[in-house]
Amino acid sequence: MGRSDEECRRYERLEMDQAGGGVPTEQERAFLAEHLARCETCRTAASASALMRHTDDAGPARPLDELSRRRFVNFVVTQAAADGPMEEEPSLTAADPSGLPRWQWMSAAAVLLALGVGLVLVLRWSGADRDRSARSRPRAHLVMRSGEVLVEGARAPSDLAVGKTLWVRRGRAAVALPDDAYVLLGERSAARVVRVSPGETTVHLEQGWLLASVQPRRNRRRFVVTTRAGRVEVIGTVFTVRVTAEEVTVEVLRGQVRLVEPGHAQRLVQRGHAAQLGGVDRKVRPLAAGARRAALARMASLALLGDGQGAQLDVRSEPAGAEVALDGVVLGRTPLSARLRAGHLRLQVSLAGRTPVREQLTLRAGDRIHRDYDLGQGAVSVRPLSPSRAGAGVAAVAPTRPLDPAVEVFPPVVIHRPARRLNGATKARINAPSTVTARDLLLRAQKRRAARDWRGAAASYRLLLAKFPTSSAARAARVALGMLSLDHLGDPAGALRIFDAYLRATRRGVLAQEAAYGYIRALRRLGRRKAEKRALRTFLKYYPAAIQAPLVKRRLEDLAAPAKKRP
Amino acid sequence: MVSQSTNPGFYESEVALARAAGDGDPRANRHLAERLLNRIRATVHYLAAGDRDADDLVQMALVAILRSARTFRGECSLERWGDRIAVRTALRELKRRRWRERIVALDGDVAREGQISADHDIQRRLLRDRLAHLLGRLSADRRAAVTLHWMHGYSVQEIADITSAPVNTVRDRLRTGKKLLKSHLEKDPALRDWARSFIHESHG
Repeated sequence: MGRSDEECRRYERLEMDQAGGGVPTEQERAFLAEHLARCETCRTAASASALMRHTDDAGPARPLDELSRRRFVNFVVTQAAADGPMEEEPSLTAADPSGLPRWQWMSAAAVLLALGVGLVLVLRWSGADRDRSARSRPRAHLVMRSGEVLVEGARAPSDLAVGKTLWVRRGRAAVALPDDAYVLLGERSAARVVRVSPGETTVHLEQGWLLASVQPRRNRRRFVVTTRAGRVEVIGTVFTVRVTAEEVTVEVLRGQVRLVEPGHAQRLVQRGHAAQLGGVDRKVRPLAAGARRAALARMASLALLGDGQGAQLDVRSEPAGAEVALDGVVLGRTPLSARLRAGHLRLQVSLAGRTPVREQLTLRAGDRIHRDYDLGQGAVSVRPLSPSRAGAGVAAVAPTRPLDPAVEVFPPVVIHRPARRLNGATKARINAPSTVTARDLLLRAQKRRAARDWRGAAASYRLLLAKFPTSSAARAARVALGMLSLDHLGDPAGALRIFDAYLRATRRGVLAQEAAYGYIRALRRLGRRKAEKRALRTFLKYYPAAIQAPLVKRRLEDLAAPAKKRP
Repeated sequence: MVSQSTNPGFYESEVALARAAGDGDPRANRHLAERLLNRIRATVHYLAAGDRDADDLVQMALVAILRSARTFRGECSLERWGDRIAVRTALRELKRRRWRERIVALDGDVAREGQISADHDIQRRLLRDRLAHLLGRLSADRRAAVTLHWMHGYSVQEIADITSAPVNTVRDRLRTGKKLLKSHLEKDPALRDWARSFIHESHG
């Protein structure tokens, strides 16, 4: 049993004692802080549970607008007045208001269940038509996701329930709606499908931009986009709505839309024109050439998408962030998942400085095709993850790596930085034909760490950094290698260089706090007190609420103490 | 111990506010409901584990709070007293599973929906929603203990009083909750990284 496990158990015990009202001693408090700084698992769990802490908002519930809030409170007050006051607080075991014994309720429930089952059987027996109508019930599907996309309450990757928020942090997402209507949602945008009924489809845009493509009215169903400033009613058109903190803009590419704002006359915006919603400027102006070009490019990508019945294409690449184009139209960046119309398509995956991959795909309704391209330095290998009919352009075949449908958050688009200088042996290893991925190397390093093979783990991390310097795994590997060099390999100078490289690349990266703290520890081990002092101050400036902040403050005081004593 | 009165609004103290609400003063009732609404909604949504009908439970909890306003004696803050009633009401209803009939639709006029949210507000809400769904894997009693401790910082003894459970049982429930969270974060690196980056960004 490792020392770390024992420490984790002690940490949990002390935490539970605190929850029970116990006050930890000074020594115990120091242990708690130190353990949190050292143990990633405990720190992450503490961070996640801290997310729940109440900050006077509605927590996981959607905030209510003023009108809904007033309705809610009025209903509650009226209901309480109608029911009359209670003379004592409700308990967990309040008597049933009907006063019936439990067994009578159980018997009634059993009878109702039997009746229900009978009813279901009868309906199924007579219900081929009903099945068809259920299948044709209007729905919303998430048909394309590229980058970091989060869906509220999603239980499956394509699941987008009415009323739930779709949030695109980076990249894009597209939603298929009834009557061949599509909505493309841009970066840093949030929207939700408010209503999908036989009479109307309504999408509410909270922020960011969306491009909607709506076919001329079918089944007389209205298509409406609402924003905080008013609503845009559509008859048959392609248009963009953009919501920023300052203004709400509508740009119409085809057809026409009607702008409805509270307290103002309705306005019509024709094709090739733009107008503001809710602003002082109420003129309808011609659309700028740049905005028109951008909207046309987005529209072209929407034309490729199919509805729930199309073919599924998942494209990943190593490194991530490669541009995915179909028939010359850019759809998004890897990792990308899209439901496409059936047909022949030319797929191109390209990344600056790497050889692009081209492949001819033949998609049929119901197909599910996975592609995972290794765009490593120079050579390109394509690794189909499941059998598919498309074959052109395949250079090498590797074992299958299953996609995890439960993972709905994709790693961020990577920023490319020049690779560091490599020695001959590393170059030879990198250029050797191989299908190993960054994830494989990371797993290999983790296994070696678990076996306390520190040097082996460091070698795996170094190989990963050399082979996939711009991948998201490389960032994690860099910090892990720094920790390893510091804690197990006795190389604080090396650790310092690694942490420095990480922090120079990003101050706001996911592991920047750990890297900054590791940098301080490395300086301490090297005895560079002045530099350590500066690093401690910088740490507090960037991360004043960090878990390590108390330790950093104490260390800063310790470093300052001898100076004070001097005359 | 009588609590220090914190912003009772038009009323002299929290006890006076609760007394007026208990006597049927509509203004006091509205004031009380407005004051506790966000807190109770957040708590109940965690307890209901992201269930779409959670707002029905919120209504029931708030109605129970207003109806028992007379019983408030100022021994703790109104918020803590409200938490106790809300958790008991929600737990009882969750166990009965008879709260599925909708009482009143919450969707307002969508054209008038609220103010624009900052990026991190939406992100924080969605992350909390994922946590709420995760808590759905626990039993209602365990969920209540975890919610009261992580969300409001209640001690083990206080949770034991609210949920009428032995202290050791509450400890066990908290331990199970933490274990579940840890194991889930191990399996879901995306959620882990996102939550941590979000916390860093908020602090930054």
